[in-house]
Amino acid sequence: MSPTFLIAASVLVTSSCGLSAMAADPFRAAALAPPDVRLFVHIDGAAALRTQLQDRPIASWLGAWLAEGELPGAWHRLSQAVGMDDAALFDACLGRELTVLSRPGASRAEWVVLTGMEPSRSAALLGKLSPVVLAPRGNVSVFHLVGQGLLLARAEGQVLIAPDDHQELFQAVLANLAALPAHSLAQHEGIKQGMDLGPGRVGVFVRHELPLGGWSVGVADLRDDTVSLRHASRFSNAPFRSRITELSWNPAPLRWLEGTGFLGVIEPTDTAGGPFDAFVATLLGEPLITSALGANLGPRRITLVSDVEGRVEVPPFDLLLPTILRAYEVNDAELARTQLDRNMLRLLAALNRLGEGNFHLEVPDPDDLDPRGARSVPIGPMARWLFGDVPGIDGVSLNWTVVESASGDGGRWCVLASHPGHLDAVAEALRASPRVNVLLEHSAQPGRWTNCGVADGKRLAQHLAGWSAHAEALAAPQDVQAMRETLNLLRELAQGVDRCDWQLSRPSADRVRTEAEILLSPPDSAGTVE
Amino acid sequence: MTGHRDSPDLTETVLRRLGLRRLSSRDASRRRRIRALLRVAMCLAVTGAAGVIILRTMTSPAPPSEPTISWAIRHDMERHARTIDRTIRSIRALAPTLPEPASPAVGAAAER
Repeated sequence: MSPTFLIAASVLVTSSCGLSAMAADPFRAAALAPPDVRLFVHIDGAAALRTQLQDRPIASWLGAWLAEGELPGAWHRLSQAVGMDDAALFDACLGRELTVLSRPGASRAEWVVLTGMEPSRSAALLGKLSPVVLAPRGNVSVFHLVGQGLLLARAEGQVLIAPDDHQELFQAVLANLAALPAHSLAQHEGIKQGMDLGPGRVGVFVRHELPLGGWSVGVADLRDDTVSLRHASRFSNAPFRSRITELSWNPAPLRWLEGTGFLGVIEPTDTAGGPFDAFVATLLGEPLITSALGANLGPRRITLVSDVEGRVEVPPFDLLLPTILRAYEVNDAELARTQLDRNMLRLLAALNRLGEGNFHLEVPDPDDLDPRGARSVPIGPMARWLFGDVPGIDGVSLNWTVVESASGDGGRWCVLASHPGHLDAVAEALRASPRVNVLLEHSAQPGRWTNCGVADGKRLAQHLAGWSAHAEALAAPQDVQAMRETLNLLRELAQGVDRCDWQLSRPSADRVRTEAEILLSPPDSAGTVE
Repeated sequence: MTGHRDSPDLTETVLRRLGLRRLSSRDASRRRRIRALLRVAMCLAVTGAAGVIILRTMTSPAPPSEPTISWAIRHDMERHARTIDRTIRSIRALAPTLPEPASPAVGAAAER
């Protein structure tokens, strides 16, 4: 892993992690930052972090992504100039504590790096680089590293670094180093909110650009293989259309369905639907759910994305075909059977009207349906019209059933799916629910969540790998290469994450809070990564 | 008509220029010395200026011939921003959009 990846990573993604053993306030350096700073990133113990993440797929992905730039080469030449290897120089300069600040400049963004270094070590390194000595500012020494285009300021235990062609932010922080300012970023509402998120080795604050406006703040930590993230945002113009839930509900059903999809989201049913519901309503001119069925809905709905092996389909194709499933909790299962049939037959009729008779969707007679069986209606022509010439698209069907858990504790569910196999797998899991997953027991707590989710990185990576080979089915000819590169980038990222669980809440219309746990894939040397 | 005629200028300078009077050897010698001094001063000035330029060139750090850390960070940030932008656009392109009304060809495919 290139040591330089963390420098850029702190600026670009800043979503890495730190060591809980040394957890501290990651926003303490905000007192030195001017109030108009747009990006603040702080990492404690980056050297230990580098060692801990070494050989993990997530670090390999990030390292490979950043290695294509010019920074690794420039860093290597700097290392040679001071007679150290790249990693040792990173640990010496940036490994103890590191803060990156950035704000918009006149022509481009300004940035500075504030790093903690032993005075003797910083003096020794500077001596090897023969900088031009500039006029000091108070008790802060200032240098110009002409060969690297950098300005440096050295105070007690701290070194400030900035580009020499954009000095405004450097001069502002330099003044704050010489004498703590009365007004700084530390007084910003977002930084105060970040401090309330708790301790962590990594802290990030960023102001959103318009039209969103507002800010986001986050704290990250690493315990063993798990990255924990806590985040809060406030928007000037919130991008959410759905209502804020009034329900307090338990996301546990998502865990009962483990293995039935690579991406799952559970939400409350009182938020007036999401993008999928809005898309269907726009497409058909009718709501996805009738008011009768809507009145019977329980507090939760689940959306699952999975895939089926195309090689066992008729006709076969060499691809994992994505399937989507929606499960609505209902209060009365017997009533729901009739309501769901009527709802789905209404949707099929609406689809036939949409296709002006060209889809030839079969609308079954309600009297002919098995009262307890699952229903399945092929909708391939409609899917082809909607999604284009995608492999396996002709095999898409609309499937639905009503399920009750055998124990009664797992609730009653209306289930809709785009593939009968996916419907059967989820129906079986719901009948057998509740299943308790001991490993994730702690994360299933009732609350007024806006949504909770889980992603399986390995299965998602497998799915994306297949589509990367069929990128031409997803993009226009001129965009195929960009689409393939995107899918490969996401696939490699997914490979680095074994599992991701999150819980998102909206305390008010303009605020969002997220808690997430990311289980990292083990190091490549462990021999378990595909 | 009354008029006034100026008398001819017969000063030393004019007579020397007309070739009717020669410069004294003392004056000639003084002028040669002045010219020599001016030439020396000119040479010294040119040499001095060249020396200062050479000295400043030799003592100032050489301009970087390879990418600096500062330049590399800026370059990479812009490059990665473009990559992220392209990635977001590709992901957005995956979202289904409402197509044109179904044509009879779709129905024909369904019948097949």
